[in-house]
Amino acid sequence: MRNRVFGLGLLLFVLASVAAYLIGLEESVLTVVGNAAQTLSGLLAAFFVFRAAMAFSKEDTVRPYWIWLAVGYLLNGLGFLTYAWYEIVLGLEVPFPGIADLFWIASYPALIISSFALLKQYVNSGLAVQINKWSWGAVLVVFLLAAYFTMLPIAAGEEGWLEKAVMLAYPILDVVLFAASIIIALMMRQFGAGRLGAPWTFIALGMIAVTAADMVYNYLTIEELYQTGSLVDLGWVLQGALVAWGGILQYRLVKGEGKEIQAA
Amino acid sequence: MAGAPVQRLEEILTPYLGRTVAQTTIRMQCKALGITPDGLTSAQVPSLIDRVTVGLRVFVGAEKANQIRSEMSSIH
Repeated sequence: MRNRVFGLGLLLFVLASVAAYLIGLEESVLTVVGNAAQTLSGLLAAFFVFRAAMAFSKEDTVRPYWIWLAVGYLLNGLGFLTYAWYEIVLGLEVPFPGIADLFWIASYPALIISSFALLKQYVNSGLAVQINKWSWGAVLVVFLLAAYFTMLPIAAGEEGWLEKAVMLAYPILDVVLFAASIIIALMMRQFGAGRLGAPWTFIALGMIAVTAADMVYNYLTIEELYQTGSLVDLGWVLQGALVAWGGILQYRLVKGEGKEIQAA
Repeated sequence: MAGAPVQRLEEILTPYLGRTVAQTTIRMQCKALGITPDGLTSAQVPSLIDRVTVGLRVFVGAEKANQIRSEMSSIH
């Protein structure tokens, strides 16, 4: 029951965020709403993934990887919080590279390593799931798109080496994260209607959403078309909500609804 | 056609793994044990259940995997 309430809350949160972007709020209001939604989304993802991690027992070999996944989303959420702090509270232009970038860049190793570690555990589980060969094709396509639209223009830009390195880090790390997420997503599809595939399907979709949002954002920034309040911002809201829902489903899978009702 | 124990195991696992993965997992683990699903005897079922439970633990944790194991063990 509690998980359903959480799920309904997440759905309302996403719908309210979409509505805020679509109804044409004043730019200053949208800046506050957008930053708040992105920060909240990231922190919700961290909370629900951590809750799922704690549902496993200490003896479960996957528990530490779930904790690292939660750490990754916490760092991601702190990145959005720092960005919002500069933009809303201090009323300053957000420095680049800055503390927010430090949090965001630091989130990638945690997310990537934990995802691939869990993927390895799933492949070696002895259950008949395997890596879909189409995953590699999808990774290649995304890499080529990222290289053409973002990496090459950034490399050819006139920024200093530090700015350029940080700007390049995002698309490169996004492609690696996308690789983990698409491999896991296509693997989980093999479960069909089976419950085991549902949590990671949503988490992987969240990771894919952030890759897409980052790629569009990078492209718009390079073309000097990006403004806070652009629809692309919704990608970051959506990613947190999808991951949070995946965390809720994983918790329910480990703990079971019956036990939860007893506890409530 | 697979024997009754295998069919029961598939029925128990299908809500978690889906029909295809449940069937393939049982076939794969039977092969690892050097047996065929058709010729699975009651004495061999616990070994098969043990192997499947190890895989389930990775996805659902030890506690839930043991619940599913108990359900599977009840078939014989």
